Amino acid sequence: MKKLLLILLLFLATSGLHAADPWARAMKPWSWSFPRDHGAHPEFKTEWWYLTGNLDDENGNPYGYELTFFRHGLQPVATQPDSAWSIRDISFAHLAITDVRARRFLFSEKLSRGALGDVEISQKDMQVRIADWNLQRHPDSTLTMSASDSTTGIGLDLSATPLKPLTFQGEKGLSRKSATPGNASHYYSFTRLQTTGQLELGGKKIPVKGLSWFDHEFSTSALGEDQEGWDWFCLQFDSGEELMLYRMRNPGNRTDPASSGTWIPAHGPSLPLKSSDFTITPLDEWKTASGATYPSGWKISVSCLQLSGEVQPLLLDQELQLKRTAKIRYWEGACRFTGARSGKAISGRGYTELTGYASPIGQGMKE
Amino acid sequence: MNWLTTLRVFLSHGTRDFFRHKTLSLLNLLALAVGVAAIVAIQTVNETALRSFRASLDLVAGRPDFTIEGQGFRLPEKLIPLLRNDPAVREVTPTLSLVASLPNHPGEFLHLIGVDPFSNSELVTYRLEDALRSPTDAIAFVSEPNTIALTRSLANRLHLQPGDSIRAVSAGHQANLRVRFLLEPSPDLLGADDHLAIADIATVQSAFGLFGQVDRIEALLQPDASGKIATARSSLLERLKPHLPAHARAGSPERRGQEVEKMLGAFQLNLTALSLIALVVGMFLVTNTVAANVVRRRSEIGLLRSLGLTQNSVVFILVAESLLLGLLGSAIGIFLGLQVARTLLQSVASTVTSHYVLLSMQEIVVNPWSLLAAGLAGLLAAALAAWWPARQASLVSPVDALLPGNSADRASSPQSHFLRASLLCFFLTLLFSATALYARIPRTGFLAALSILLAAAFLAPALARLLSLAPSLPFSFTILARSTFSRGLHRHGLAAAALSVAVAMAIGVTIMVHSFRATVDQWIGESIKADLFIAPSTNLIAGALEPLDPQAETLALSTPGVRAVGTYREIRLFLDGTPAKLAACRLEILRVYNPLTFLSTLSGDPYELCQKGDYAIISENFARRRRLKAGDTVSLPTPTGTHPLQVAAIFRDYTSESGLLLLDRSTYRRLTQDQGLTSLAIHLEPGVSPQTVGDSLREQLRPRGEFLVYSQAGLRDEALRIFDRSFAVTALLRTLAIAVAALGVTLSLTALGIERTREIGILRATGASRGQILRTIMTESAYLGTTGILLGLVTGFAVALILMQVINRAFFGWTIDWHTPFPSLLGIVGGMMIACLIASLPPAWRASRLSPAEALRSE
Repeated sequence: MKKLLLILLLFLATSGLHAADPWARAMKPWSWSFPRDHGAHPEFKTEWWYLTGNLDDENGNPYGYELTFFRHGLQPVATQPDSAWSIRDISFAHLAITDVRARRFLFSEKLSRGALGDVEISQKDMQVRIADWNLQRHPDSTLTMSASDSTTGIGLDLSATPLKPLTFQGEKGLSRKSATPGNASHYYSFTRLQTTGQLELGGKKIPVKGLSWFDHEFSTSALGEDQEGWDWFCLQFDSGEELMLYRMRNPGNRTDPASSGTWIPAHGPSLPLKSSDFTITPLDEWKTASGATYPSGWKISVSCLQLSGEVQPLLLDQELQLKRTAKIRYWEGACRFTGARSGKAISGRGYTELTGYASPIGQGMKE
Repeated sequence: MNWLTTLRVFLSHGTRDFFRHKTLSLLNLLALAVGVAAIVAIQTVNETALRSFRASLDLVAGRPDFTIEGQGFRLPEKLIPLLRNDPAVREVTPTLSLVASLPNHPGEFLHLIGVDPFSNSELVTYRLEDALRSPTDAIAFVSEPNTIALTRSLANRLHLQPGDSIRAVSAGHQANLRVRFLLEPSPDLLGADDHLAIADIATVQSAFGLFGQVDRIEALLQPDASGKIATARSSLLERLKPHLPAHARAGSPERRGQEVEKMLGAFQLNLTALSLIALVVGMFLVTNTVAANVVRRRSEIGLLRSLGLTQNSVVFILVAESLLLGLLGSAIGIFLGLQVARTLLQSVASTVTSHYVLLSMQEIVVNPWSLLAAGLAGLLAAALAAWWPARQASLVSPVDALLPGNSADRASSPQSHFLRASLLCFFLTLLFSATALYARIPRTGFLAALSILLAAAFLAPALARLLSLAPSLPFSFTILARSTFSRGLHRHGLAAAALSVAVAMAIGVTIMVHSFRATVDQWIGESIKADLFIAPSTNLIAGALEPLDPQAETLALSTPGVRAVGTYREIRLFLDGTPAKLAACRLEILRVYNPLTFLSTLSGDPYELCQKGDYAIISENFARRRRLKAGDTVSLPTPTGTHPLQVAAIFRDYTSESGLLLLDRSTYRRLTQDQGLTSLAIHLEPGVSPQTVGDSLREQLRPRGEFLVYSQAGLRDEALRIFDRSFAVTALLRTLAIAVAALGVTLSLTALGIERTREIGILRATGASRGQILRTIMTESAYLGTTGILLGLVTGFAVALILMQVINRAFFGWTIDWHTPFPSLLGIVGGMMIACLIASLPPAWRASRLSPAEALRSE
């Protein structure tokens, strides 16, 4: 059955190839309306609510966390609707905590078909719950999230308040992933959220505070046919600015021209970045026990911003090895940035996401 | 003389002897082999049954930490969120199972299990092979209606290709199931029932209209700090208890397996005990033969002794020889036993299925350890059997031994010891019977049976002596035979003992089975009054209790010529931890058309009581096992709560080994909310042909699935067929015992013939004709046969009494009326007598051909 799920997720999308496309596609910018668009968009096949953050405890020890909720549509209309077990979407969630000082990286996951109230995802606002893991947006715009797993002994209970209004990525939120029209997602972020709460590690509750980054993205076909994966960066600079970059990787590790990014200044409108505006150069490699090789450490430069510097992971091994959601592996880790902008030293923290190096994660998102 | 030299002597003499006396050795070998084969066959079948049951359970359920099961009735799926949100629960997953008939494949069925692949990944013990190897297939499993996974062997048997559809029917719902996956059990689950099919739980609910229902809920728990889950389990149970329906059974999953195994235990113990008795009979024979060997080889032993072989070495050689024989016999026995196991497999599977749980076995599972154990039992029997005669032989002085044909009378055993042992065994019989019946240790019933057999065996020499004292017919050869018989008691005593044990067992089992069958037959005659019966075919093929198409009752009622339709609903459940059968009938129909025979009732009409209130009628064995009488209360857990039912009456019933609780249909439906029916009993207008109505019903029901429509005689035959099948193994063991005993007579007489060489020589020299010698030895054989058979006959009645009144009562609690099967008994007695005479022919012939000169060479 594990094998079944693997197949399930690897080839999820192909069923959509039938005559009339039943799924909506990201062809043109979405007409955004909040809080409704914080909620689910079931007409699209894939959707996620993604939180990452760098936090410190009272002694200044650094921690990283990732909490992501995924919704994946199997079929636009559920078959066998009279059964409580009838499936339209499957839902899964990933939780990871990086304890930098102890050099520990722990992760956990949830997977559900949503039967009998196991999953609740509102279409009105950001109210997402898979089993007892949840993410809620409150009227004061604060996000609260909680998740825990007693098997690995990790958990979190955090509240994150946006310090800036939301940022639309790409063209008014239409984030292209390849040259083919429709290979794109609708994508917005809260790039700086003041975060407080507690992490749980080995049964110990650790009060923490720091910064989080939030992405909400929905699409039907976000990857091009032969794209292998992506390298994604979000950086929060001490200067109050943020940078998001992603590099879609074509065969031969070539950068897809549709790769892009966004610069978010401390105040004022954000600046979209084209692939020609920036370069990302790996500095080193990290080999997993299973033999996969990830790049590790990058030189990043954004010429138009006169920004350049190095992104280094806080811990080499921040690879999620998922079992339940098929045998998917990806690297999602806390990083730090040191460099210069316009000749002045600049530093910050952030998260890096590397997919398609150890398992072909992206295929579920191709059509 | 050291042991190495002894070994060399053994090798040269022992093997030479073996080949020189091929017939005798082969007979010996065969006797041992049959004993070992009986054990191997029974053990293998028992193990295959258990293994298959466990593997099927594991395949379906995995190995969870905690399970909730609905007993008799399904569970509401709404219980699942309760577990899901509990801190002790790591994972929770449901299963929903049913047995569906396959109208296009008569005689086959699907044991379809609905699973949730999203939550059971840590529990599954099978893989789904993507049969079409197309990417979208995996989604089909959870999203495409009617998609199932079949075992490869069933798919092959039904000639189904991936992608083919198969029509399945259950409880009036029909579905065209599509085979898109093949089920690959993990290697340690080989032997699991190949009728198992897997589908998504939504598919099973939708295809068969079982919305909101599940059969089992399984959970993995969060271990505590020390890695144990016992605490988590008990605390979870505490929290769940207030929310569970009364019929739900929650706790450790091993429990269900254990309960079923306990249930099967009685059945298997039965067979094991019988197979051991076959070995005991075999042991008697080996003792007999080794003793015969010793006699035959006195001169050889004498020679070896005079050459310096010690007494211990003689014992060693003879025991080692017997062990060699035992080794060969065990090997042959193991081989034979496995063949027999194969032929018994289906009959045991059907028996277990019709009485206990759904069990289907395709191939035997061989456990090397039990083969080893059976082999060792064979060796042990051979060694034990050889020890006594070997010791006797070693005591003979070399001088005596070297005198050919010297009689061995002095070796005859002390009679008084045997009598005392016999008496002791008889008391043990009484004691064990008492403990089985009154101290509630049912297993001691088998010890009682064994004790009575041993009592008979110990009595055999005394009886033989008694018989030899009786006046004989006034012919020369009869007088001679009587006197030689009396002098050959040391040998005949043992043969007569073996014979009596075999005959007693055969007769005991024959009387028991006959009485039981006659009782059941008579009961069927009294209790099956309807003209036609309808049931889903799966219930017969698979022993399932799948409900009938609800339309069937309406259909039957509207068929011309039908006067009344009785309904029957049957559920298997556990009451206070022991299995029971719950049944519901329309009592107003039963009382008019098919009144029950009550053994005791409350004051008032039991039918009326049951129709208007919470009353039940219970079967005699239910009452006995639970020590209930009319007016007592039985608690019945149902989906609507636990209901106390007052016993209105006790009646006689043979349909359930575990006991029957019968309710009126209205009460049953009110208490359980279950509308299902298991079968219909149709009463016709006078003069209407059951054949015509049966055909018409068959025709009307055909589009609705596979049904069995029985006439009254058909159902009676079917019931008796199930009965006979249940006793098929018993019958086989009985035959084995008889065969072994017949072998024993031949062995005993052959040995005697050799022992008497000198005597026969003298007789011949003094003018006895060959015919007279032949007649003498045959008469002697008749003496031997009479002793063994007479003793066996009497003991057989005692064995039958123990089987019916002790073992049956202790394990099952049925009433078996005594019916003596005179023709069968006559057949066994006469047959054994004839067998004895025929068995005496070869040795008698050989003795009569002895030339007097050779026989008297050393005089």
